[in-house]
Amino acid sequence: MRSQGRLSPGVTTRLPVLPRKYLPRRLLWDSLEAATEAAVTMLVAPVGAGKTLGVVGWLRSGTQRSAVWVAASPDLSVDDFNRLSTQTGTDGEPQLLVIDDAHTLSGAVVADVERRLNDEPRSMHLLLISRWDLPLARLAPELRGDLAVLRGDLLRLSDDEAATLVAEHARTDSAEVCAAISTRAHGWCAAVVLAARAVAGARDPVADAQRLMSGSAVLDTIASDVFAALTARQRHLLLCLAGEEVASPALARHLSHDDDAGRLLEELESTGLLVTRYVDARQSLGDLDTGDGRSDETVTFRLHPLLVEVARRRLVAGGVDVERARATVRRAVAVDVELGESSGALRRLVAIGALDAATRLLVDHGVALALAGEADALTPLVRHHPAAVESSPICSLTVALHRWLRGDFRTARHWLHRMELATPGWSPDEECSAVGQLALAAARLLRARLGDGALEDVVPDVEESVRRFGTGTISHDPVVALVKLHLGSALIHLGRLADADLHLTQAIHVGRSSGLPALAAEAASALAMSQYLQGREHICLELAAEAARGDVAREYAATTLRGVLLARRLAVLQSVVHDQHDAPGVSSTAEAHDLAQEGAHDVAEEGDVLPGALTRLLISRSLLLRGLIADAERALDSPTIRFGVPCVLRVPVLLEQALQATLACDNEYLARLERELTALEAVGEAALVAALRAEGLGEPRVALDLFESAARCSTCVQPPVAAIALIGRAQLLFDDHRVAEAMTDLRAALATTELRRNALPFLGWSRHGAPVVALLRAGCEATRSAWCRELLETMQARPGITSVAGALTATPRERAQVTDGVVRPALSSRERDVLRELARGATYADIAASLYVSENTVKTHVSSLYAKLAVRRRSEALAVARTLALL
Amino acid sequence: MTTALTACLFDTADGADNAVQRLMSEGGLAPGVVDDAVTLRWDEGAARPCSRRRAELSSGNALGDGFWALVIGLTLRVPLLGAAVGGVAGARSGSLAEAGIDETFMNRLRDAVTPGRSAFLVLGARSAWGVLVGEILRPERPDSVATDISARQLAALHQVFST
Repeated sequence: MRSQGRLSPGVTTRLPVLPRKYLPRRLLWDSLEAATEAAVTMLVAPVGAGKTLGVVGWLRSGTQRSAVWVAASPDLSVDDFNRLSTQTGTDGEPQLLVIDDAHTLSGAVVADVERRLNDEPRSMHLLLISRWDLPLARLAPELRGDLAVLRGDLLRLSDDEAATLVAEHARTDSAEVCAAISTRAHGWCAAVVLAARAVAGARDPVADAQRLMSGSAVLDTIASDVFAALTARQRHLLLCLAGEEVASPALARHLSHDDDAGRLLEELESTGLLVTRYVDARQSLGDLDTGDGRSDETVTFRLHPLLVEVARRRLVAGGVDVERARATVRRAVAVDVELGESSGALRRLVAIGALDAATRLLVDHGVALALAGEADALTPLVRHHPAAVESSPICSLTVALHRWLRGDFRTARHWLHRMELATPGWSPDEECSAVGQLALAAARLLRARLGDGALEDVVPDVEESVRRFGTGTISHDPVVALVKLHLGSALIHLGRLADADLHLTQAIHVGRSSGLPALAAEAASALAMSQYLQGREHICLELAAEAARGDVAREYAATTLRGVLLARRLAVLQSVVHDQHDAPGVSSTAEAHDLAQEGAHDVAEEGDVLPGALTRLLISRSLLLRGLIADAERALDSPTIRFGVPCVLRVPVLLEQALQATLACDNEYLARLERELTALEAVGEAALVAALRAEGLGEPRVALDLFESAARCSTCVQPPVAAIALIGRAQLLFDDHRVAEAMTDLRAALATTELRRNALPFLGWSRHGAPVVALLRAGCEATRSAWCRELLETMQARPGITSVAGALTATPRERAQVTDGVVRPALSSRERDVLRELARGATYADIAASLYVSENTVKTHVSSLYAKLAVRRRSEALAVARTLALL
Repeated sequence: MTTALTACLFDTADGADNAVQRLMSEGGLAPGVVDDAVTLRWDEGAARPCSRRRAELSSGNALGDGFWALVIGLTLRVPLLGAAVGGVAGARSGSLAEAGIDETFMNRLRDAVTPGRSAFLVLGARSAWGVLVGEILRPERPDSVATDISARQLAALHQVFST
C-alpha cells in the first residue's frame, strides 16, 4: 500500500474489528460483491442497522480483500479524500476506500465525489456507508454502471437470524422471547440485540421482552434498559466517554480514573454492538483474527451512536452517576491543563456538563484557548448557558475573540459590548488586576477596529495600559500578546508604522514561545502589511511565507487566513512585473478576474477595513499592470475607499488613482487629485501628480522641474513616488541628450528599488521622455548593476505603459461620447480580429492580407461590426470599443 | 407471599410526597400492604437528594433506619462520595444482590432520581402493592421498578436490621 501522506488532524484510517459474537450477513455480502464492481457504491441504512460490521464482515469473508477504511468527519478535507482515494493496490487499480459515516462528509468532499463520478469514475473505488442519501446526482452514473446504491432492506434480519442473535445475547432459546422481540423489532439489528441484552438478566424474560417491546418509544426504552443492565463501572466509563468520538484505552483510563477501563471496553466490545474496536490501519485486515493490535498504541474504541445518545440523555438529566462522572472528567482535565495539555479540555468539560469548571477554565486560559483554536466548544456553552459565560469579563472577551477569529464580527461586537456593560459590576480584584485592565483594553481596541469608536481616541489609552500593566512577569500572558497584536494593527491604520512594528514583533515572539501559532501568524501577516507599506517588499515576502507556513491558515482563524492570503497576494503582485513578459494589455483578463474574485471575499468583509482596502488597492494595481484601466478604476470605486479608507492608505489610494488617470489622459481628474494631495500636506506626491498632468498637457519642461521637486520632497514609499519621479525625469533628460544627469537619476532610482525589487517606476510613466528601455540600456553600459540588467531583460519586449495603455483606454472625451447603458455587444471572433487591426490603424487591404481574406469580406465584417457598435466611423468604433473594454 | 422492594418514580420533586399525603388523607393503607416506606426527593438546584422515612406507613415488620440507610447509601450516597473525592469510588464497592436487591434495580433508581424528580420506595407484599399502584396512584401513573426479595432473604434482612 502506498503511503497516505499527511492527513488532516482528526482524520484517521482505522479498521473496525468484528466482535466475538458475530452474525454473518450473507445477503448483504452477496449484494456488496456485485455492487462494488461499480466505481462508487453507496450503502444507505438507518443507525443500528449493522452497516459497519456488515461491511467489515464482508471484507474479511472469502477472498482476502485489501481496503482502506476511514471514519468520515467534517474534518476530512478534499485533499485527504484525494490522497486516500488515489491509493492503488498491487494490481495498479485504485484500492477500495471505505468511508464510514459518509453522511458527515463536508459538502466540498461530496461535490468532489460527484465531479469525479462524472468526469473520471475509474480513478476511484469507493464504498460510502451512510445513514441517509448523499446529495449526488445519481441517475446518469447509475445508468452508466458507475454508481450502485444498496439500501437498508438488505440488512433486515430474517427470523432465523434474529433468533440466533436473541439466543446469543439473551442467553435463552425460548421461542416466546424470540417472538416477542422479533415481532416489534422488524429485523432491525440494534433493536434485536439491545432488547435481547436487556432481557438477559431478567427473572421473567418473556414478560420483560413483552414489556420492552410494547409502547411507542421502543428503542428509547430498550436502550435505557440496556444502560441500566450494565455494571456500575461500565456505566461510569460510558458516561465519561460520551463526549469522545473515539477513545484509546489510555484515554479511557485517564477520563474515568479507573485502571481497568481498557478491560471494561474490551468486555463491552466482545458482546457486540455497544462498542466497536478499531485497530491502526498499519495492520492489514488479515492480522485482525490473531489478536494482534490489542496493545494500547494501536487500538481505539468507538461507542455505538445509540449508546452515546443514551449516555448524553443521562448527562442532561443528571443524577448521582452523572455527578461522579463529572468529577472524574473534571479531575482528568485539571491534570491535563496543569501539564500544559489544554487541547480538548473545554470540549470535554462542556460535553460532560461541568459548567462551573468550564467557566473557570475560560477565566484562567480562555484567551489562550481561543487563540489556539481550541474554543469551538464555546458555541454550545454560550447557547445553553449564556449567564455562566457572562459572569466574567474574560469569558466574554474569549467569546468575542472566538467569534472574531471565526469571522463572525457581528456576534463579536455584541459580546464586546456586553463586556463593557458588565464592567461596572466587576469585583475590585478584577478591576485592579493587570489582566482585567488589559482585557478591557483589548475589548476597546477590538470594538474600535470594528468601527465602534475612533481609533485615535482609543489607541493612546491602550498604549498607556500596556505601559502600566503589560510589563514584568505578565508580559508573556496571551492577553498581553493579544493587546499588542491589535494595538499594532491599529497603529498601522493610524500610519504609525514604526510603533506598530515594535508591538507586532513582540506579539509574534509571545505567540511563538507560548505555543499560539494563530496569534503569531496573524501578527506576522499584520507586520507583513506594515512592511509593505514602508516599502520593504522583500521583508513582506519573508513574513508572508512565515505566516503561511504549516497548517495555520487552514486550522485556525478566518482573520488569520485573510491576513495570510493578503500577504501572499502582496508577494504575487510584486512578482507580476518581473514574471510577466507579455506587454500589458495582452495578458489574460481571466487571470485578473480570478484575482479579483479571490479578493472579493476580503473586500466584502465587514470588520477590520484595512485588509479590505489594501486588497482593493492590490486588485486595482494588478488590473492596471495588465492594462485594464477601466476595471482598475472600478476596483477602487467603493464606499470603503471613498469614505472609510484608513489614514495610512489615503495618500497611496490618491496616487493609485493618479496613475490610472495618467493612463486614461484624464487631466481634470489629475488636477483634482493634486489638490487633494496638497490638502493632505503631501507636497512631493502632489508634485508628481502635477508632473504627470504637465506631461499630459504637453509641457515637458514644466514636468521636468515638477519631477525633480517630487523626487526631493516625497515621503510616500508605496507606491515609490521618488523612484517614479526620478525615472520620469531621467527619461525626459535622456531625450534631451543630458545623459550624465539622466544616469545620476537612474542610479538613484536603481539604488532605492533594487532591494525591494519593485519594478513599478520602470514601466515608462513619462509620455515625452525617452523609452525606458533605451535609458536602461545606457544605464547597463554606465553601471554594472545586475538589477539594471534584469530590468532591461524584462522590459526589452514591452513598450512604455503610457503608450500601450493609451491605445486601449477610453479618454474622458471618448467616454462622454458613448451613451450610458450601451449593452456590451457579442462580437464574433473574426469581428474581434478586424477590430484589433482597425485599432492598429491598418487599411482594409492590410487587414485582408493579414487575415487571408478578400477586401470585400473585410468590408462585410466592418459593416457588421459598426452595426453592432452602433457607430458610423472608425474613430467612433474605437471610442466605443475602448469604453466597453472590447480591445 | 412474595415481598418486593418497589420504587415508584415521579417526574416532579414533590410527586412522591404528594402521593404519600394523598394515601394518608384517603384513610391510610390496609394492614399488611406495606411493611416499610421511604421517600426520596431531589430538588432542582440542590447538591444532593434527600430522603425521609415514612414511619406513618410502616407496620410492625419494618426493617428500620439502618436498612434504608444502607440501600440509599449504596445507591445514591456512595457515588456522590466518589464525585466528592474525584474518583471512581462507589462504582466498584458494595452490592446488595445477595439480599435480593440487584444492581439493575439500583441502576434504575440512580437513573430515575435526578434533579427535579422524586421516588417512593416501598417494602411490602408484591401483589398488594401492585393493586395499590394500579388504583390509588392512578392519577400520577408513575413508572415503577421492583426487585423481588425471597422469604429467606427477607428473614436475613430482619435478622440484621430489625431494631
